[in-house]
Amino acid sequence: MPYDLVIKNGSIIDGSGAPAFHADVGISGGEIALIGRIREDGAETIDAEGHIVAPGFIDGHTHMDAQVFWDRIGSSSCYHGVTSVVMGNCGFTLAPCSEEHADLAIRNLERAEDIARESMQEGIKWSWETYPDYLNTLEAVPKGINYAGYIGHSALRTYVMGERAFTEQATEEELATMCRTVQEAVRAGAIGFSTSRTHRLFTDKPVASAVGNWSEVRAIVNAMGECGAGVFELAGDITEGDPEATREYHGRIRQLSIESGVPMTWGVTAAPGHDDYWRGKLALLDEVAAAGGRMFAQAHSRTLDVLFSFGCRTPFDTWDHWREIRALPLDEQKARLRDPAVRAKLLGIADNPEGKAFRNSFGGLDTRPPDWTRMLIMDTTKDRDQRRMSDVAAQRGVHPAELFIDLALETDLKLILRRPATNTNDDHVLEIMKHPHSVVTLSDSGAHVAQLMDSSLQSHVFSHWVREEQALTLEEAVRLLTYDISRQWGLYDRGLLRVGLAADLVVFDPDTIGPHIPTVESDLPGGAKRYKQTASGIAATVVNGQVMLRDNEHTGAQSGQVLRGPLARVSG
Amino acid sequence: MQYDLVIKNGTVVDGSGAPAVRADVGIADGKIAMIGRIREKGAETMDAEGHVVAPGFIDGHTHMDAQVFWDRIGSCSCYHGVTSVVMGNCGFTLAPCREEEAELVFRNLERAEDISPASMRAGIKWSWETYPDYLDTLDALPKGINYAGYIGHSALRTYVMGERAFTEQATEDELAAMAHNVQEAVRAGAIGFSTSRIHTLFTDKLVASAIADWSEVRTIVNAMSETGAGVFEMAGEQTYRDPVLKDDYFGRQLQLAVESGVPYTWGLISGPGEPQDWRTYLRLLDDVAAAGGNMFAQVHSRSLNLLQSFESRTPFDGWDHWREIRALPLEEQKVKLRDPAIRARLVDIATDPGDKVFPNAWGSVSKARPPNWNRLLIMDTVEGEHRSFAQVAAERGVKPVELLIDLALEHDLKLLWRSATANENDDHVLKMMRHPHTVVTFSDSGAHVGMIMDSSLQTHVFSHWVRKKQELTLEEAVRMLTYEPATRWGLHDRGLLRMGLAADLVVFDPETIGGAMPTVEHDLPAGEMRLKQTGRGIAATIVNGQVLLRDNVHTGAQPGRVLRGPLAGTV
Repeated sequence: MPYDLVIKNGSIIDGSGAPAFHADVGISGGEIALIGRIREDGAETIDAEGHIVAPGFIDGHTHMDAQVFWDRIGSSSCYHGVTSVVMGNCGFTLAPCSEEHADLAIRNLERAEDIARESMQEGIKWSWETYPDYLNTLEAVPKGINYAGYIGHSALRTYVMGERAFTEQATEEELATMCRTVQEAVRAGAIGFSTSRTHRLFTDKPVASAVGNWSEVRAIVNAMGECGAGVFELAGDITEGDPEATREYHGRIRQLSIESGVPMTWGVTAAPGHDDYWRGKLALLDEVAAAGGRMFAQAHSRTLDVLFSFGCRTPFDTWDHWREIRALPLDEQKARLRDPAVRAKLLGIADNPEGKAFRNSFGGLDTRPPDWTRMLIMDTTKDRDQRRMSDVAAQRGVHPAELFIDLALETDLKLILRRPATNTNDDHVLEIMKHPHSVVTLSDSGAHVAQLMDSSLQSHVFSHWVREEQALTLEEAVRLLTYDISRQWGLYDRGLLRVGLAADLVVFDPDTIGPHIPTVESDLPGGAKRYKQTASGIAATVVNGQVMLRDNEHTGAQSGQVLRGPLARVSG
Repeated sequence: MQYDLVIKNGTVVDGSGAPAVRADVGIADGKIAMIGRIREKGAETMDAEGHVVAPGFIDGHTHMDAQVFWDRIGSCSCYHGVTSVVMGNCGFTLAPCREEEAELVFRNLERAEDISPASMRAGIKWSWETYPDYLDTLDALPKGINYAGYIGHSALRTYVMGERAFTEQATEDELAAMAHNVQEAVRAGAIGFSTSRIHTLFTDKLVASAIADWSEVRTIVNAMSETGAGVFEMAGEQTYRDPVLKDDYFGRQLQLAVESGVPYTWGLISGPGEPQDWRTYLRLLDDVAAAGGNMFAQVHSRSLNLLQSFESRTPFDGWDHWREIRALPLEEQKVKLRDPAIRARLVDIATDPGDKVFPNAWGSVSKARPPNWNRLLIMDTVEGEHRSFAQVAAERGVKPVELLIDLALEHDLKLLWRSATANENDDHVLKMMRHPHTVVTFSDSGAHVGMIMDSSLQTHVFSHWVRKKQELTLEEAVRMLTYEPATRWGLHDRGLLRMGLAADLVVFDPETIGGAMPTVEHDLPAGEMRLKQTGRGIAATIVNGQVLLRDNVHTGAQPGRVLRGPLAGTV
């Protein structure tokens, strides 16, 4: 039989956890046509000798809603073997929204997900109003990977209530409209409904969804439950350190999960010092399952980090003296950083801000010198080998702020520091990853692109957990990133390497797969900056049967699809 | 959305090993259309409250090739949640074969698999010659469950070589014809090629496939490999505890697995003679995987047993005095067994046959030896523990054969007893089941139906390993019986409860699922006897979206299909 693509001599890991075996894979019509010994060449043939051939990884938590309009490959997730993502998390979506109200949707995304306003204004050609319209628009956008999307509560609320969405409770009629709109979206193929109870706007006011009371959320989720499909994603109440509020909150989401029958999901990280808090969340998952509900947590494979660099943001960008320097082009900054007088001023305030208040990069007012014991130097991709700023400063006998400037100058200002915000205990991370009701997926790709770079989650599972720590087998790791995720989101024709399923595949070298050190790029629409992170060891990333990346370089293929939920795909 | 069938309120165990979730399952057009909370009713609606909803079980090792013509439901496998089987194992198939040579094929099946030629003659309407013809014939038969089939080496060899198949090596032309036939069969949808290196005919001569030298097997398997599809199944060679023979045999297998790249499989049991030998076979699986081949063993979930009763066979059926009694109708046997004089004669010869020579149950004639009563276990319950005749007879102060007669009479001659032929050590069984390159599947359903009853393999996994021993979780057990066999045999649209896949499902109560006590039936086409075993705790068995069995009773549905390999329809 003539194949479009044949991947020969690879070691097949099918995504189910089953042991690897040697076989060729034949692909035709975008589907896996044969797994066996294939003699003939395809129209295209890849020799995967020494490589693993696995289903493409799936990321269930991204914010690529805006980026999909200007990024044709799905970076930075695509660089790490990801072939499908779920976007529209935490209530932030671009639909439903009419063009004249686009600014309201953009306002939600800007602050909550740190997506640059000018990029959205320049990069998005608005041509929809309803969520079904938006899905149709997405169909026509050239895509490197596959996208499934939630309908987001903030967009929905703004669509139905206008400016009132940011301040008031919905009327009965408005609530009924929201319910109906969600049902319509899910029937048209939205993967579910998402909301946030926590995110705040640039103005320190809550985003639209967080203004809605719980009974609004409950009514909408139950309305979605009536459709028989749709996942409910929630950026939940933050009740760390408050057992009573935690109990109350858990009781509410438990009840909703059971009464609606809807799969409910939220992210969980191991917040340092709050073991009871995150363990309580894992226990809730077991409790809900026992009571007949479906709830699953989204876990990350490593620390979540805030990144600092001269190329993007430093901890001091708004501080006196720094402000003026940081406004200059990078080459001029270099010159100034070498000027002893300027340097003295910068270091003086960085060490002792004297009670001055500057607006920090999260929009709040807060000026404290960074905790240099928690700042790690990203000069290697091996987590364990990364040194603390405080330690290296002590060795060199300089102040950490001075070391920051020195190291930056030594690296042509490319130095990146990371400050782990959570998930700092590896044992805890593994405990969450291995919980039967959690999935490993929380890259946040598309959001906070000038502050975070967690898109390497997938390649990190292999470099760290499989290779360095040997805490997972290759087969277990692949399953965590493929079948387990496809199952929870109902992406039933993906996530397994099986005849008849969509040919989303990743071909990688198990000995070298892993993240590279991030870089700073100024390639967003409007020239805004972002972190970019590629990976080593991935020979090919195949999306719907076409090689989209070869050795992490885009081939030009645009084979990504919109992944619609089950109601849009069954006839009758 | 209009559903043909909605299964509500069940606990879905999807076959992948993932944790159970509560969900409804909607089925339309024979496929799983929705897994979630379903508000509407289907054309048919089932309440599965308290039940597990799992993919239908798949049995990779059966001999239903003949039975499929007269058994419309796929017993006894179907009673144990099985919705798909692979048949044609060990080289024994009904195709390719011309009608006028059917007796040659029957000869292979009769001795090797204990399938009665009378049943085959009465029950099979021959309408094929080639393997593709046979698959087309199967398509038209009313079927309860799904069938995939190998093309068998013994049939193939007989088809190509005629009577010479039983005595000679193939010529080059004949070998080329066999290779060609296998390729044609696999392209038409045969699941693979099977052979036997050991089974003997009724006459104590080898079956046709076992006459062939290894290079014939190797050539055919490599020819199949050229098509890109097909599994190779083999009833392997005896190595008689000879390390040289074994090294040679393992070396040949490793070479063929690696050079052909074909998924290569055989059954593995822990035999009483060599209780540790199975470990060497598991090592071979690991060695082959490391060398880039793909070899897997088929293992059973429990001991393999010979079952006997007055309704079927006793150890003494061919012996003097017994012979005359056993020839009578059962009612008359009861009367005779109660007659003290007759009874004394029966007990005497059974206890001490002297140097007499009688035909045994395998048809050969040999010096009569009393059975080892320590190994004959009284099957008074289905799960056991079962005590031996020797032990109970000693307690009662009677001879074991007297106990046999007494107990049989107490049970209206329905009492069954068993003697384990393999897998007596539960720890070994579990180790084999858990090895990464094994599949739990070995019912042999359709074969030896008067002597063994291993079709309860699947329900036994739950009653014994999940419930009694708690060695497996429900999720692990379901995966062993669904995703794993489906993947090994490439039944890619089954073995998983997932939208878009075929709606083969089993709805069972995890607290009660198990085997029922086997019975003896006389319902084969020529009226002959077979052992039958149903299951407990299975509320519904669904095949391609239709309820085939409800509470293990046939609904009348005939939704089974022929499962063709991946090349069928793509050429």
